[in-house]
Amino acid sequence: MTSGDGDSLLTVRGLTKHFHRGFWPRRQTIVAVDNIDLRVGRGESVGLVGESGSGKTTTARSILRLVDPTSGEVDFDGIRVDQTPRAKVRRLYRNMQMVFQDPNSSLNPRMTVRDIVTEPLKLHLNMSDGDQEQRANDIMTMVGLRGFHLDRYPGQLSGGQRQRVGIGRAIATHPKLVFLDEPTSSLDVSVRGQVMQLLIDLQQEMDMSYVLISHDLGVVRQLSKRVMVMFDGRIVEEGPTEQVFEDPRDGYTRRLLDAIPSMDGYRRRRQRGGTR
Amino acid sequence: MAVLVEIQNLEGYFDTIGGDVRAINSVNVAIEEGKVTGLVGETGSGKTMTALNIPRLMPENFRYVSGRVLFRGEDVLSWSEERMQLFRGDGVGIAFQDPKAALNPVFTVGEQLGRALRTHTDATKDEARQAALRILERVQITDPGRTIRQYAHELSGGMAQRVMVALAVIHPPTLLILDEPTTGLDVTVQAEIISMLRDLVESMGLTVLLITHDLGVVGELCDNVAVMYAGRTMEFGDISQVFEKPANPYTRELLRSTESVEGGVGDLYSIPGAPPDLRNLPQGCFFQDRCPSVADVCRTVPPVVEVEPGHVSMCHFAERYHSMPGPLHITRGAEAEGGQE
Ligand SMILES: Nc1ncnc2c1ncn2[C@@H]1O[C@H](COP(=O)(O)OP(=O)(O)OP(=O)(O)O)[C@@H](O)[C@H]1O
Ligand SMILES: Nc1ncnc2c1ncn2[C@@H]1O[C@H](COP(=O)(O)OP(=O)(O)O)[C@@H](O)[C@H]1O
Ligand code: SF4
Ligand SMILES: [Mg+2]
Ligand SMILES: [Mg+2]
Repeated sequence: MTSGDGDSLLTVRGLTKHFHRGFWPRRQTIVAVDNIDLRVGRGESVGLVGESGSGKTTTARSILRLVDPTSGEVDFDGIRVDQTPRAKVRRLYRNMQMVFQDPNSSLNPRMTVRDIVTEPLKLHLNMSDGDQEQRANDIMTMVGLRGFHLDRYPGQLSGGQRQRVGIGRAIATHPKLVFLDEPTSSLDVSVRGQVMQLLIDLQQEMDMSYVLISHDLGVVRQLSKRVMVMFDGRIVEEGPTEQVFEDPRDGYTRRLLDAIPSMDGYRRRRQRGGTR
Repeated sequence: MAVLVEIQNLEGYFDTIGGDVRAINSVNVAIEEGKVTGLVGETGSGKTMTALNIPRLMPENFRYVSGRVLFRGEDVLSWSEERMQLFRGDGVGIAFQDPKAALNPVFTVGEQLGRALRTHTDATKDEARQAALRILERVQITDPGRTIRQYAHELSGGMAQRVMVALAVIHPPTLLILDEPTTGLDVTVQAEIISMLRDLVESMGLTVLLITHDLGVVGELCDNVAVMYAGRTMEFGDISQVFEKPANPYTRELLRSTESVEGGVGDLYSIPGAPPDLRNLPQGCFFQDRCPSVADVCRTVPPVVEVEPGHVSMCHFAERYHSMPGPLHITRGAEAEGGQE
């Protein structure tokens, strides 16, 4: 499961992304991602955790060339993504996909579920209409929806169902690597487990690799054996998930762990006699 | 303990072109004076709409079917609009869900706080400014002098939430409603807001109705809790009753999902299925499609059963559930971390 050296799917070296704000002489540079290294093995799921604004999403977007990195090397399955000409970047998305943070804003409300999940098939695979329909139905089964959902619009689905559609779109072309940006944070806990279980099952069935972005360490613990902790654009800690959780070396990781609102808060309060 | 607000058998629906949306079906909640009462449930379960009944701020297409909303024993649903206006000012303060959208974009934080105070008192401009600075300090804004001059769009999510709370308490209301005060914030900021609220509630002796979908937040802050599902209060009681001896399958399943998603205990668990469509509710118990204990009798509306004093559950098998061991591992973590905080 861990990335043996010869078996890396994604290798990132010295990735840096600057954003600029304002104009000379008051131009400011924001260092969103600061010289990070990252490796993902085939079939591996790596967690990327950190508080809001620490640079997690920007890291994913830079690797996927949704924004152009300021510097750094990105090798994906033998392809130098950072050197790929802009016009050819789109082709990469057959094998490298992303599930976005907020399914409400990332799904086009005017497209049916069918159009949403078949769009990547049209772009990347040369499939007949019949095959597309077949694949669309398969995707619905895989993500735990039904055939009739293909005719619905996102607004007619629940939050959990919308997130499943977002996942369905991302896996439609059977990609090798999927970035999951907070895939469960907009979901109620009653259905969060369903979506997490779906992600675990899909990974095993399709032998995909994941980069799981989250500030919820509970989610990472369930889905990833290895985790990287990001703070202020840099990776401050990295290691096997259990080890990082049981014995965080970095003070920031400790703080992040303590902050999770959980039933432990109730337990502590009860012990102090704070409940009647 | 005195009960400040009591919502009894409340039922109502939204009149829409697509049909009736039955958002409030059977709500029973008691808010005790000086306590924090939680209203917990999934998105769309009717938490916000329940709370908005107290100041009678329901959307205009809402239609009452039955029930009473008692404030110190008087039914606010029967009050005149004039009396209601006065009550909204002094009686109830609300910190709305999504504070960035709820704050006024064209006035500075200081101007908004000043206006909030001056509608209630005849404070001078300077007194209002001083009060604004003091209240921002109490909600733990690091630099009140600077924040007072800022506009909503210049605030981070955590700051906007603090300002929203400050606006609601600058003239302390008899009842403070906090709608999802930690939702959408980063975990580290959530923890800060929770501890700020705890300090504020204690030092000002506020009576609070706290709305959240997160049982973790309920566990940190609430004395009593109502669990809502599809517009019904499935269970109500004090926090240790509800968390440790839940008398309703839904509460139990929710506790179990929360524990399992946090990790560490057993397998990943969630409640199969999804909440029902409010336009097309089933006969009987609304949880029947997802309930592990569903039986034929569940096709009839379950009774509200008082399983112990102050602890009620809406389920045909409330007594049986109440006598089972609860799903929370009460000592887990607490032993190791008991001394901290
Ligand atoms: N287009 C942009 N222009 C300017 N600054 C940006 C831009 N996109 C991101 N940033 C900044 O870069 C930093 C990292 O942002 P990023 O979205 O990667 O954070 P994140 O870790 O994903 O946070 P969250 O948990 O809130 O999603 C932040 O300070 C953000 O404000
Ligand atoms: N004006 C309205 N017309 C029709 N339906 C509404 C209206 N306002 C709210 N609802 C519906 O009522 C239900 C309960 O809403 P709400 O109390 O806001 O839920 P929550 O528990 O998330 O706070 C939801 O299904 C919502 O869509
Ligand atoms: S009434 Fe029946 S279906 Fe409803 S919660 Fe109780 S056991 Fe489950
Ligand atoms: Mg992000
Ligand atoms: Mg709400």
